[in-house]
Amino acid sequence: MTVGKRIGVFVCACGPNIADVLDIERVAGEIGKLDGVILSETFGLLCSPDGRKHLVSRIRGNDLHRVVIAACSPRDHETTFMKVCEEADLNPFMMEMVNIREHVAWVTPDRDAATEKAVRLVRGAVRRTMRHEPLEKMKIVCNPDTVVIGGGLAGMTTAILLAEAGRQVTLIEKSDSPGGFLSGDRRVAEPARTVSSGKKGIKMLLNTQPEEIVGFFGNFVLSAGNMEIKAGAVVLATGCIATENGGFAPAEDFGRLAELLRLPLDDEGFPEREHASLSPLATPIEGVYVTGCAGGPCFPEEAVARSEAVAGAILSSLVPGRELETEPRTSVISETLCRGCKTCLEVCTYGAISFDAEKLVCGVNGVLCRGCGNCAAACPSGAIRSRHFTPDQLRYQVEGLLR
Amino acid sequence: MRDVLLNLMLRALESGVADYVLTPSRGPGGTFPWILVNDVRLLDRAEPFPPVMYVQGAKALASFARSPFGGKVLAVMRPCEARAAVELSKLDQVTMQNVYFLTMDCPGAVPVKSYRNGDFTEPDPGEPESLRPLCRQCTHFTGAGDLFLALHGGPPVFRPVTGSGRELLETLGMETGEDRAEWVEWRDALLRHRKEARKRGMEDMRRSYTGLGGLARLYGGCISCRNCRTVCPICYCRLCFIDMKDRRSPASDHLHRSGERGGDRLPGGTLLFHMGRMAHMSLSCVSCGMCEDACPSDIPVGRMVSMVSEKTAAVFGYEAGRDTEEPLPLNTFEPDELHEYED
Amino acid sequence: MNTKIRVLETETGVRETLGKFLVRLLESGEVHSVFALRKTPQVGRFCRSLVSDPDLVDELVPFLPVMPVQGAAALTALTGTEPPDAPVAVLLRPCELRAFVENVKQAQGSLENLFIISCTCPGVIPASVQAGKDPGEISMTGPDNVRSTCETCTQLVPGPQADMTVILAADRETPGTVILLNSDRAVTLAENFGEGSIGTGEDGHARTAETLRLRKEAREAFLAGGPVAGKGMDSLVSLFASCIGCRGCREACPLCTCILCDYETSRTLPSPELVRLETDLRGALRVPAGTLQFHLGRLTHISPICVNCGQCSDACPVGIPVAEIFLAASVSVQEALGYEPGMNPEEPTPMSTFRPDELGDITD
Repeated sequence: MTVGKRIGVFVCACGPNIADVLDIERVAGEIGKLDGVILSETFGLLCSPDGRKHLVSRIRGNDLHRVVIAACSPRDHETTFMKVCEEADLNPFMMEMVNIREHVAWVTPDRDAATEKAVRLVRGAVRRTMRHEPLEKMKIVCNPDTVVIGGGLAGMTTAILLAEAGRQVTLIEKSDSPGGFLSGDRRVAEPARTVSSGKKGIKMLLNTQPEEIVGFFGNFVLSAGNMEIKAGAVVLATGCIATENGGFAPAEDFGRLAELLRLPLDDEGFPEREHASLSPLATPIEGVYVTGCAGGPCFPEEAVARSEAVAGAILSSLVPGRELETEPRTSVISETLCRGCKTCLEVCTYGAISFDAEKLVCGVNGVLCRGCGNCAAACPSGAIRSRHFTPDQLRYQVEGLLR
Repeated sequence: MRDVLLNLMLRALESGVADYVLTPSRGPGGTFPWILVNDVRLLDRAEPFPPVMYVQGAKALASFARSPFGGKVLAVMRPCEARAAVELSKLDQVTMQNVYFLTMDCPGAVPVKSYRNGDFTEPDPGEPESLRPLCRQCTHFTGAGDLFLALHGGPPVFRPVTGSGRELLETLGMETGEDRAEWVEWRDALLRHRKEARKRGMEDMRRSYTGLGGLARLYGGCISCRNCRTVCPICYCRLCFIDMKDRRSPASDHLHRSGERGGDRLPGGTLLFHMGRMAHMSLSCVSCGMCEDACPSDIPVGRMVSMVSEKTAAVFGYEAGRDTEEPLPLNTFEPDELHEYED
Repeated sequence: MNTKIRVLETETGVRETLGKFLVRLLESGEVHSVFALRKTPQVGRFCRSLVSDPDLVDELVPFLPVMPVQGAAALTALTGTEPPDAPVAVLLRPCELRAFVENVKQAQGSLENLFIISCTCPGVIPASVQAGKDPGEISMTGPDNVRSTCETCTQLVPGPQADMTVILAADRETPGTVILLNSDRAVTLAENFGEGSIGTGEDGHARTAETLRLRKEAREAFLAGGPVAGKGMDSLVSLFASCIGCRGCREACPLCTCILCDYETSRTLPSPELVRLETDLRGALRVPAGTLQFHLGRLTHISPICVNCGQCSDACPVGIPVAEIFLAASVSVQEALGYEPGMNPEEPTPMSTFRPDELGDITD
């Protein structure tokens, strides 16, 4: 891979946000003098439809191989500009965004200082993009099946609703019969009969507890004993128990289950929610839901209502045939340099690293890896490379900033 | 002598003939670290041709001059260091463009251990006992690099070796002249003496360490510290073949060997390391002796490699460090050679 | 606390007793090989070696106070890819055992099939002092001029992995040999030995309590007033200033098992552009650059697990007090992390575990 040229730089005025605070023309001018930059210009509002059209035409018209966009926060528009690149037939990872709004305009009152800072940041980005490599996103088809952990009223209701809608459900229950807290009660008699009858779409596993769960929304793998259960969504229906002081706590084994999922918990040990009011049954982990008393004590009617809501959420998001893109900015382990110390494995929060006992090295599952970079940081041998955050790219960026 | 060299370095920097000077310097704890200097005021630290060799000059050069450095460098080094740089340039580890080598009638060096014990006399080619074993048999003690400082047969005078050296002296307004007769006499006499010493030394090595048994004895005290490899300028690999992971023997191999022979030393692979290293680098060995100086077990590593290198290079009519254009024998295929080794 | 433990006592000295014991182990087939220090024939030096032939036990010098190679490094070379498929008796000093346990945690060795014989350790002598000495000239129980890391070592009693502990360092000298039998296997092998007598006696800690007290004092004195006392970041430059980049410290360290040190790669070594930039900025620059980076890096990676064996100082050709620097650093780092290296193979290494509620006194 040769160090790249044909870099185009676009400095956004962002309306008054950026242009009022720093001299964007001077930024574009200074950057235009850099080796490898063939185009350096300003624009009013790059994220607008006009702005995007302008970018596409400039990329195509000048055969740009690399693009730097100095504008707002990547949180706002990185996806926007990556799509622009794709539209212009440029690999989206050949683009680097520089935040000169939050990081410069909004925090630096002095115009000269702000301009100088912006120049340095953009220079760092220009140098960085010289070492960018195109990365390909993989697409995988989501798994529309669901695994429900806990065979009480809530768990059974969720399973039955999903099965009736034509989905495959695995219902895992730790005891030897379904029913949970309400076992023996007439309200669970019928669902228990349904799930035990081998109803089409529901596979019930009694005396089973999950031992490992890896994956992500649309692609979970749950291991229990010798079994591997693949599903696109996980529903926690493990119920709760009364405590001595009159309160409530999640079921005994829930803590271990939460650890398997790396699920954040609140002060009482119940799972955190994606949003307390707007998404109270989804956890911060996409694809992992909570129903029944697993989320906090409730009456049976409420448990059923929660189950209906969760089933609905799963049916509408896990549409059969829906494609999911995997993260290409993953870690890669050099087999030559890896000595198999497993430090990376210990610090991986996504269960994406495994140890090969034959070769005595660790390896990254590119589909499970979320590109957090913990492993690359932890490896004492420097045997792990984070794609899109390679030592070269970072070094070039720092040198561009400091020179 | 130091003043003469310092003066040239100063003039080279001031006139712009060089942008940087690479020279040993006086460092803490009796060390002589290499420094890259472009500020003349810091030249007072320079200590060219110190009595010991802690770091091979070619290695110091290669640490920053793999690609064109972007400034002219005047490298003040011993002949063996300049010659090692020539080899490294053929191995793509040094770019010679814009590097000029200033050497000297080399006084030789004392062993690092003697130096650190305070148990040494100033190196003097006339006193072989003062020098490291490899220095005592060195036949490349002068006339290397682009220009050198001739010390003998009169006041010190700079002599060009290459066209670049000549140009440099002319730009500085210095004489390029002729080799003094007295200097030639001194050089030839020392060369005769050194060749003789080398011949005797090689014979000694051969006699003492013939065959596998001899080699096992030679390397008997080796503790696999890898110092010889680390200090060798020609060993530029970051990860040596011997340390590759897939070379490790499983326990069953060691136990099996121990069962068969009665015992098995660990770490193993000592002979393989030394033989392998020689196979890889001996053709480019410049007999600088860093390896032997660095060995904590006092193994005459350098003398062995030097001896082997003389034989292997002779097969190809090759001489290490002689010419940057001379191709490396192991990298070039000549269909019409080595027939005498075929059946 | 006075723990009683099974003990083997013989009337003959340590060298003789051990020699006979090892011969017996081999002849009886209880072990396939013995792994210990060995005199290198014809050369007058020492190495680590497997020995399977009882007739070669004569060449062994187990627990001679020299350390040409750290035992853990040699044992890692033996068991790094797989455990031995037959029992091996290994003789290790406490620090060698601890270093090996640390290596086992990082999948660089295995404790399987090893019968471990350790000792209460009086220390080892540096290579410079050892040169040219005959083994008979070196005291097994109280050698002179031991390494400074040995003088200040507070882990002179081996950890729980040791099957047997030969009493070398002790508060009171005893005639003959005393060997603590820490495991059932040790008791069985001692019974089969047929020499000496087996009884009960004090454990290693009880026998070395006074020695430990003196060591602790020496350590306090070292930390308060030794060669690196009171030196911080700014002194690191001068402490490592004479470094010639030989990397002997890394090669000698049993815990440095990386195939290629991260500080030896183009990823971390200063690039030519950076060398030029820095030279221009400062007027002059030492080359090769990256000396302090290497040492700081090694300090970062190793100080949480350093066992203070002192190999690094021994290996340094320019007399940098590497082991002393690492001792000072590791004492505070290990205390902050609440970690004792090499005592428990199940305890995860501190750098691979995240505890949200730790190090609050160091962070803001």
